[in-house]
Amino acid sequence: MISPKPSSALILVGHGSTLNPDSSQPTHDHADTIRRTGLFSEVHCAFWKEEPSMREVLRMVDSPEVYIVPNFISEGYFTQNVIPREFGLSGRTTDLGHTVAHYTDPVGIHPSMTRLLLKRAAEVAEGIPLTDCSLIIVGHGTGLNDNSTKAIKDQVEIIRAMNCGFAEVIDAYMEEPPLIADWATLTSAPNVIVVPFFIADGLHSFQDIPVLLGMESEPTAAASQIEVFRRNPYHLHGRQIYYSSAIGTEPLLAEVMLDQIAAFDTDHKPAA
Amino acid sequence: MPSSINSALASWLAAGGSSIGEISITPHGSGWQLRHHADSSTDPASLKPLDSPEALREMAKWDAAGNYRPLHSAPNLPSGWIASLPDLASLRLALDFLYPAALANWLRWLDGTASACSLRDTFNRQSGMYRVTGLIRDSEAESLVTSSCHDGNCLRKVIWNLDGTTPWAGFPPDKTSAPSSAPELGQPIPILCLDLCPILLAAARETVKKRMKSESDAAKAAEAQASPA
Ligand code: SF4
Repeated sequence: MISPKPSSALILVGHGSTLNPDSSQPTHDHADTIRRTGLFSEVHCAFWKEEPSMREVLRMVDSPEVYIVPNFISEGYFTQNVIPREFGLSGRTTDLGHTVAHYTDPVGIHPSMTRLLLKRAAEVAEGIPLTDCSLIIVGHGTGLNDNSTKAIKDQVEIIRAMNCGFAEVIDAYMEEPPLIADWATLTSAPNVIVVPFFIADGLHSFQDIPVLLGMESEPTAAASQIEVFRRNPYHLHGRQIYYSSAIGTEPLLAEVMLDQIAAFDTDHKPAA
Repeated sequence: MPSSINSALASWLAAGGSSIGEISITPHGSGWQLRHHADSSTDPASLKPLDSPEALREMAKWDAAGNYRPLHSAPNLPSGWIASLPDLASLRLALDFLYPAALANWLRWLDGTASACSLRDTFNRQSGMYRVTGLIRDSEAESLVTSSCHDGNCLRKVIWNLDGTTPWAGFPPDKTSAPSSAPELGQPIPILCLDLCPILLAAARETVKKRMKSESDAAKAAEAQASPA
């Protein structure tokens, strides 16, 4: 846990969506959690596709210092190009005139993400011996998200090395091999736990991947717009699938954001 | 630490300020009550009580028919609720959720620290899939902005113009200017658009792509005609 920062504001930056009502929800939820701790003088959210924009949110900041934390799963186009451009950042720390901005790494690449993945896996298949479970961490793959592939591969390596007992731990993707659609041949255990490595239960994790897994024949409505949330397990190919919501919806992600700020202070902030 | 935005909000309230967008704010005990303008003469007992900024944020996410509202300044905030907030901090948060950045845009505009970014400057700095918006023609921009940003779609005032000098012909003057009255006068808070929104950015991309496609279709048709098989 970090010590209070009464002169610092915090901005969580999410992608957001003009179409999907669930995209920005986890970012708001984590901001609410951190706001309640009182650690920061102010806590705001900003989005690429929703309001307030990154340009606008800076005007909301009244503190002499602000931490900007990208609520993104990996380094990539948004964290390296769009966010610095929109905020006018020139490096890790930028004097913006009315406030000094510190730009942290995206939340998804912090080592504590491993803890969250294991917690999610344990929760979704509660009571099932791990030795009877294959764990799949699923991502998008290809294009603008190629660093997210690396983030997932790293997590798979770490979890394998921990020897926590899973029959196997693998990575899979929507659009590049190993394909999540091939889950039945990629895995061997009777129970298959699938954790989407996404920030929100948006289009990909809530609507597309369940179709690729065979849980749904066509995409359902958005998560917030269907009456009954999914009920695990799904019986397919003589196996049980346990599908978790996106890792970014895990409430503990708020703690990972604070960890990311602590890591920034250790690595990049000169001692006062 | 004292907040300049919170203290300006306090001055505005002390002067009797009570209106922003579709919302009216009234003192209530030591806190504040919010409701939709349309409910100003409705019996409060018949309105759904909301008791936190977060509950207001969730309410404002949907229109009356249950559709997602990606644009907070669209004039379709549902009515039928009454929110009680205990103090200035929760009121500030609620306003930030209902009309994101509206208070800050207004106050920084008034004190001269915020300026509007022209449509050309916004489009020309885009990269990736939005880089193409830089190719929008003046006439396309004019009709897009006039049809997207009018009061029936968005209550914000369009403070940016085409290129830093050319104003929009299709709007009445009060749509493109902000009243300069200080918070201490308690006038309704104007919701300013200083940077055009992602919805307009996406629409501009569609406009340009559609025109480019019809130009390329026309060129192909002309070529086919010029060289009959
Ligand atoms: S660009 Fe500004 S004025 Fe136009 S619709 Fe978007 S928010 Fe409203």
